[in-house]
Amino acid sequence: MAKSLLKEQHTESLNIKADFPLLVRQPSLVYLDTASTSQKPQCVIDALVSFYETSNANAHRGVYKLSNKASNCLEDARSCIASYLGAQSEQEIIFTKGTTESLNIIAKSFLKNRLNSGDRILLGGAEHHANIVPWQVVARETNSVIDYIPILEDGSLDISSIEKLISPKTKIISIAHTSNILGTTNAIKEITNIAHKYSIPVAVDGAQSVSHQEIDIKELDCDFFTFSGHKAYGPMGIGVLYARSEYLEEMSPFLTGGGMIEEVNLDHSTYVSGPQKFEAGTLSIADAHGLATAIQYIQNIGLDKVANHERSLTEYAEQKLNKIEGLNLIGPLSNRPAPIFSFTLDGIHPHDIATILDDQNIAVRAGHHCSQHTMKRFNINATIRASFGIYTTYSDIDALVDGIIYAKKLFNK
Amino acid sequence: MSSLLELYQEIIIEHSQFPRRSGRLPEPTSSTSAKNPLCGDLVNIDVKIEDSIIKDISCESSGCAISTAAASIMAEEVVGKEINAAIETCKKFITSLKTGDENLSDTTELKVFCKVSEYPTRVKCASLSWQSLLKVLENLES
Repeated sequence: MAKSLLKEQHTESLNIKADFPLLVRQPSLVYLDTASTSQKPQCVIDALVSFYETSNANAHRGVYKLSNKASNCLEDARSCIASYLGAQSEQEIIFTKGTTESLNIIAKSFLKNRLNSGDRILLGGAEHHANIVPWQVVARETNSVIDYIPILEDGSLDISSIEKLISPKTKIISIAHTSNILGTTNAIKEITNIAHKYSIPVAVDGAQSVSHQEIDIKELDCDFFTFSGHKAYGPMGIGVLYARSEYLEEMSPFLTGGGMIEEVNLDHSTYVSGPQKFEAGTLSIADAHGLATAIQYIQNIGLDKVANHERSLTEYAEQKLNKIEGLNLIGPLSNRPAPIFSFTLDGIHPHDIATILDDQNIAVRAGHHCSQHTMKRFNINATIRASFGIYTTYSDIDALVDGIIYAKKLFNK
Repeated sequence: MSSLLELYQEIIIEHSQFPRRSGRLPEPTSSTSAKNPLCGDLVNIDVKIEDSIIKDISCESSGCAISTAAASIMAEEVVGKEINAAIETCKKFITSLKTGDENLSDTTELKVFCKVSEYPTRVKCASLSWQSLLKVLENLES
């Protein structure tokens, strides 16, 4: 099929910019920073307003009807997320502020209790700082050591090295499902198979995968799964930690205070079990409701349709970007699994490109993308990153390519 | 001409591709380095001061066009100046980056950077080397 025809059909098949008020109000904006945060559909914005207009009360505190309504709203959101992820039970879903907090909880409330001096933590070699720093903190506190799974030149994880890197001292493996820089998706099932042979729990940072492909925790067989609402068309400030029930029960509280206690005496307290043990204080129920609405929104479109749309965009971008002389893609050159492109341009710094693109109303990210060690791995200081979402169109990619060519001309490259 | 073209005009592109007084001095009297963690811009500055005069200066920068050109132009601008005069130039330049006030700059090269004020996220790139030099000179004066 001719590319132009394919392009036309596809643009028609998932032309949903109209659902996103910010994109409607700014029609000239080419938003290519979904990996940083996604735009929000009208239904999510409406859900937030509707909660405050019709259901606003504290959850699990009042005996009055409105409080019940708020509690139901929160628990419905928990069930929706549990079902979306394929968790065994909604009791395995903890609401957090986002992926960063979720990973911190695993490190501090789960792993730290299990670590002894000389133990080891195994991480992917291209993780976001959020999946490194919490482990560094507990490693320092317990005199443990962090090992990293090497990243190959094409951006893939060297899975063959995992068995060599683990030992009886290895107490957790934590790894991104999809890299926020390389556009690679890691074979979590293969990793959990290896890890579970040695009874090592596996935590997965799902921030970049959760709204782009179907997630089935049973299939992945991971023990923890984390993600942020705001990258998945939901509100900012809400995220999720899935913890396998036996591990969730083993974990000690993270924040303490109201809402997570069973009984408080003057000299000691006991805690509730289940996810509420990690939800001290008043949760943002509106945001949880907004997140559930976002998940229902992509479910209604269909995750297969989302994945197909993004795959076609990725193929199209791959072809176009590879044709630009002096453009160096970081990670796979073809068959990129996720719609995230990091690249450099010979002789032009990423921040200059980003400013020139911004002048044409094209929003891309430039910098180290919270992963300085990944930059070092590829001997660069920074990249430009363009990342797509369900609202991205072929015209957006054309605008990016034209913008890059314009920048090259400006720099006489 | 758009603001962007005014910013990325020949002067900045040329200085970024062929920075003046680039590298390290063999026997500096003061040295400093600064980093912009957001973009990874890095600059090492060496100065040689004799009798309160900047006899020699060099900047070793790696970073975007704006930070590299700003360091290159700074080195040319302050060499031969008396410390207090250089401090004054630095202060005026840094203010012009924020306010866009062309009147604060004496030379065409410096006036080009006034356009940076329209790109707030890039002010740090243009000011990195100037802020670092200013700190060194102020320490020498105090």
